[in-house]
Amino acid sequence: MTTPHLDPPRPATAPEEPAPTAARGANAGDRFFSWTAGLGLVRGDGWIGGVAAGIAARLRIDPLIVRGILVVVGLFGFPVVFLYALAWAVLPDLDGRMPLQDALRRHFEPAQVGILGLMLVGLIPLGPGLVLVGGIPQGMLTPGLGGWSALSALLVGAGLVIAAVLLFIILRAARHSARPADPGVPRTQRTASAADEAPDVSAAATGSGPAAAADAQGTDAAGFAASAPAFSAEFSPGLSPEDAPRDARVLPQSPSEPSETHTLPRSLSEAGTAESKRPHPTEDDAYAAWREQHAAWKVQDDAWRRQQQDADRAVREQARRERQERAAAFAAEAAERRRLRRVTKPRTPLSAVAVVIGVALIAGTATALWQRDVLAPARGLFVAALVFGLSMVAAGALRRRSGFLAFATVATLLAAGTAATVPVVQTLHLGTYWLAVGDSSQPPTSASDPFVQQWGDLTITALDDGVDGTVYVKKGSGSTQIMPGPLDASVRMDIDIITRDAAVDSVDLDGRGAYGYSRLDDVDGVATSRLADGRTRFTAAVGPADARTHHRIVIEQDSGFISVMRPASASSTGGSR
Amino acid sequence: MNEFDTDTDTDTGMIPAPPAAEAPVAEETAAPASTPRPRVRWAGIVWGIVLAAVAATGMVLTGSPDRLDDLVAIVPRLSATTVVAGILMTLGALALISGLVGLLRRAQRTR
Repeated sequence: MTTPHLDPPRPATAPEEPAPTAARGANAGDRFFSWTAGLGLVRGDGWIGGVAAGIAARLRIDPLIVRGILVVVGLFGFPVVFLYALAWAVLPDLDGRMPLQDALRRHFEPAQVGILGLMLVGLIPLGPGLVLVGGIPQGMLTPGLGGWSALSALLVGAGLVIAAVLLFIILRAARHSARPADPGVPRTQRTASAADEAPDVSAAATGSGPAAAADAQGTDAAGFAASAPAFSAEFSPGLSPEDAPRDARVLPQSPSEPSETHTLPRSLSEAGTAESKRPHPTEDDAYAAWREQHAAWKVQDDAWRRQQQDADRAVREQARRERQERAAAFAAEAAERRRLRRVTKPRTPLSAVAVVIGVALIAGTATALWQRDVLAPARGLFVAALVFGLSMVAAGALRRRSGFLAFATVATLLAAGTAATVPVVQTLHLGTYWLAVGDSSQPPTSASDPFVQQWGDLTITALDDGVDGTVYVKKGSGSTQIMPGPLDASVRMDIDIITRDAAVDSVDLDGRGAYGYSRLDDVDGVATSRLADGRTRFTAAVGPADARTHHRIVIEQDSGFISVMRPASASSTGGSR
Repeated sequence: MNEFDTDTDTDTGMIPAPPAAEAPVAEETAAPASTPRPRVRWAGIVWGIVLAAVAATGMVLTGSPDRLDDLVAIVPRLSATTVVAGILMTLGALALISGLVGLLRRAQRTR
């Protein structure tokens, strides 16, 4: 009877809901945040911040694919980490909260520290150093320096292989996770979201629910406001008091609060007093009747409200129970799948794995200790890898899966390869090195045991310390610089250079900081001759013949650059031996 | 690695046949009456042999201290051509082994 009057005012309150958000988007900062909120990207339930999960949800793909692409792109030097942190800061989460907006409103939380840290990490350019592009020194790709060396081919190949393996792993993982996830995880997500919506739907259907319950005050106020104008018009001072009770009798049907309705009769009576007319006894009866009716309506209304709230609670409870049931069913299903998998595809028992690890550790360490030299670690690791590999074979024959053993084998092999490569690289002096002729602390060289450098840069300094020295260098490619130390020292350097196609230059220093470049064979006193194997031999003497220190420098280099620094005095006094 | 430390591996993993306690569960969930016996893991055998062979080669190459000179002597002989050839042969070997494993699995399934 009374409820139909409750409903009409509700639409009047509904439009008030979005109004505050519209008002909030007043200044520029809030406009920006409302723009980011409107992108349709909502940070989900992810690993870090949920940005990848949000993008995946938007694109309707597996989050693992997004994460994999981010990792691969990041390895190629794209500032993924920084952009990820930025997205974390400005994108809303499921509750619509944006960390940057919260920070601007001086509302701080731990996640903001994480974002700041991630941004700082993102500023460190570690991407290009890891793979491909930055891994190859520019000189190795320059044709003038011997073209594509074996090292550059190796680096490019390794980079491509790493990228391919990463992509393969990611795609495989994505496919793998998508298959079992299809019947399970998305369904729970779906039901979760459906359950979240359920109360609202039921609320709309029954005409109540949390939103309506929250509106209780507003609805009544609006209902009162709607009824008030007519009321005040009818109870204007010019109104006859006889009309009042009749109108007052209408009142119980309006959904006003008791306090509000309570004031009305008082204002009514006041109006009556202002007109100097006392209320008639029949009016009092009418008022009492109305009070009674209103009290009855109030009881009915409260009961109805309670019923609505109970219904809401029941719906929520039902949704929660359904969610729990589905989760339990999914967990049971997964457990059953796991159990079947354990039965039909048993793993290698933990005890067996422990035995294998123990044997590998003992055998590897014993081998490494047996002969102690630079290759000992590699030898030990290879032995351990052999043990792991054989255990894989045994596990397979005994119908057991060997996932961990395979992982251990590959990891040990990689470590062994690295351990074998390090001494080789050190022996070949790959990289930048410096040699001082006349420095007895450096290992001596001879024609049969030269300083070998396959690729890299080498600086040879001829010290003016009164100790005559000799250095023999055998190089593949790279640059070699020969200079007196210090630059203006008057050291005698007898230089012998044998090369296939290296560019041999003379750098003339005039002592005032200026340089002059010329080909070494254009310099007076430098003899060149062609050897039987097609190589060229340069014989030069730099520095005064009566110098305190005499050094002999013999360089055999295939390709690259060789430059000889000649101080001003040396260039004028240079002569043949 | 996670295959190995995720859950209880020691009890049920060691027993090929389903334990008596779990048998009714299998019937309830409409599982096949007899769960198939675990098969021989050919992939593990083949890859184990290959990795063991690689490890043995590495052992021979690093067998004694004077092997370092041999290893060092290999590097200058490398050229772009030999490296590319080596990479291609490695990829070919990987494809060959993977294919072999697939064929073995196929034969096992159809038998």
